[in-house]
Amino acid sequence: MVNETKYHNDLKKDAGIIVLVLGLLFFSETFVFYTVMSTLWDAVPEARTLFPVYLLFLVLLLGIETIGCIRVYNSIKEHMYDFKYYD
Amino acid sequence: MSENSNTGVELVKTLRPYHVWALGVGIVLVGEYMGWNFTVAKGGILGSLFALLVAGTMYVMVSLCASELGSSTKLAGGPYDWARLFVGPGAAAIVGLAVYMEYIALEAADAIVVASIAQSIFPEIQTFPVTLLVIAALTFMNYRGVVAALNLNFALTFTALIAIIAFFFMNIGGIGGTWHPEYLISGAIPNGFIGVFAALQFGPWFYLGIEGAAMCAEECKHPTRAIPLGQQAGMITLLLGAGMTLYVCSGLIPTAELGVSVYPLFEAANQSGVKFLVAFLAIGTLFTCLASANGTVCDSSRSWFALSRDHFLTNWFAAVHTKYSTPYRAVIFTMPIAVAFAYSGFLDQVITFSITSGLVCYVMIPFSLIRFRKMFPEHTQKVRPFVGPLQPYLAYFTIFLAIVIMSTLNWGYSYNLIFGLLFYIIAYFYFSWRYRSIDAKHDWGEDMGWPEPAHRK
Repeated sequence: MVNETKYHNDLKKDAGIIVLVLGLLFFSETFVFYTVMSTLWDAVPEARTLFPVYLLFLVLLLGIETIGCIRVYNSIKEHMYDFKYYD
Repeated sequence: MSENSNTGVELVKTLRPYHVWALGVGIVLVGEYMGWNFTVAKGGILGSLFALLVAGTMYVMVSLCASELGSSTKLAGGPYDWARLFVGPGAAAIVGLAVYMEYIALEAADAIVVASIAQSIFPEIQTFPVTLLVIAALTFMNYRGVVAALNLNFALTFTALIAIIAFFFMNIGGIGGTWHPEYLISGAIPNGFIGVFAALQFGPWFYLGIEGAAMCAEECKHPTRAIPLGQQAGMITLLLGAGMTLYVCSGLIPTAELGVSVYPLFEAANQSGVKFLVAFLAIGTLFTCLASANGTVCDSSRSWFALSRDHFLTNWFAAVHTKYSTPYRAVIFTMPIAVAFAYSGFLDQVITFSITSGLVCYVMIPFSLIRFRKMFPEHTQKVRPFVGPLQPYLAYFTIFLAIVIMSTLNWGYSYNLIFGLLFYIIAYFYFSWRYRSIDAKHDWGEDMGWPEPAHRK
């Protein structure tokens, strides 16, 4: 018999860790991107030319990683009782 | 199975998500302590940021492909097994060899760097004996058991990661040295747009080897949870570390010096003038080299073990230790190869071969996923417990980015690129020929517990 309360608590712990590091990732990547671009914006004209490409890859990187993490969460939630993940 | 009595012994299933994280990040984090800064030499700060974002996007997608394939197949060979099952024997053999070479070369490079650090502290010692000692000690650790080896990796990697995070937050908080915007401006784009593009060749340094996290699937207690969770957590960690490293180093070290630095993070800590950071980053540099070398012994031996188990090599290497449940002969055999690489002493050449081998894998891993999805389109719990997003479009995009990055090796390492590709083409034909001579019938139901693939129904 599976202890459902324990399973939900452990699932929340897994999700909490990922949300925490994902939040840190969003902060650090956007901070680094903003700082580098704003520092170079006026002094280096090439930065303005390349800006759209950089922005595209930043959005792709953060977007795909976030979607991937949501999929991992859904997968664990769907299979946790069948595979007895938290026993 | 072979005539060896102990080839029937199975690998022990004890690993948890944090072991998967430790294996993946442990191998790779060394690239954030050193090596990534060659992107700055090629393309300046803008080139380095471009390489970080483009290579990061590629690796996020490789990680998702590896998560799906690893949690489905649950086999020790990782990329090798995926290519064997879903592409073919020739492709499997070159992926197995590519993984082996990628990690062995990385192990040798790590051991050389550890010896160099030791020599910088104790100038009287010779580097080569220390290199040998490091390789021997880590081989012994992996011989004794994967749990002990990965627990060690977890401790080393976690310490090295905390050092980067502490450095970043202390710096933006104003207590970790003075950040100089003028360093960024003076070295923003020294070689024009071509330099920015050429910087991509060292972009993989930030993340090289993260796909190896999925290679411990056969030794995981719950691979369907541990692999996707550990792999994604590992990828986020590396992206975090990459951005933070680029930020602190670009603002603390003049760009001309940063591009040629051997230990950029340690040098940045020195520039900060904070003694705590200098000590912490010195420990981090040493720990990350050891963790990387330790993880690469684990992964390269699993790849060799898998090649041997499937008769591409002599079956003698497929033996599993009766007491420690490790592929001990494959583990021991990593030592002479790593020593041979280390003996050459050409660190950049060794590393470039490792990158080329890695890029071969990044073409083959998504291709294996595309084939897997075509052969087994159903998303059942038995066949595909973790379903990655936006596939197969992400797999096609990954292949495109890997080929683009590989093409940039043409600037400065064209011979390495040609030699590497020639090596793998010859290996492809050799192993395709060898595979025809062995009786290798494949039964999906018996081997994997899966139904027949779509094209056989």
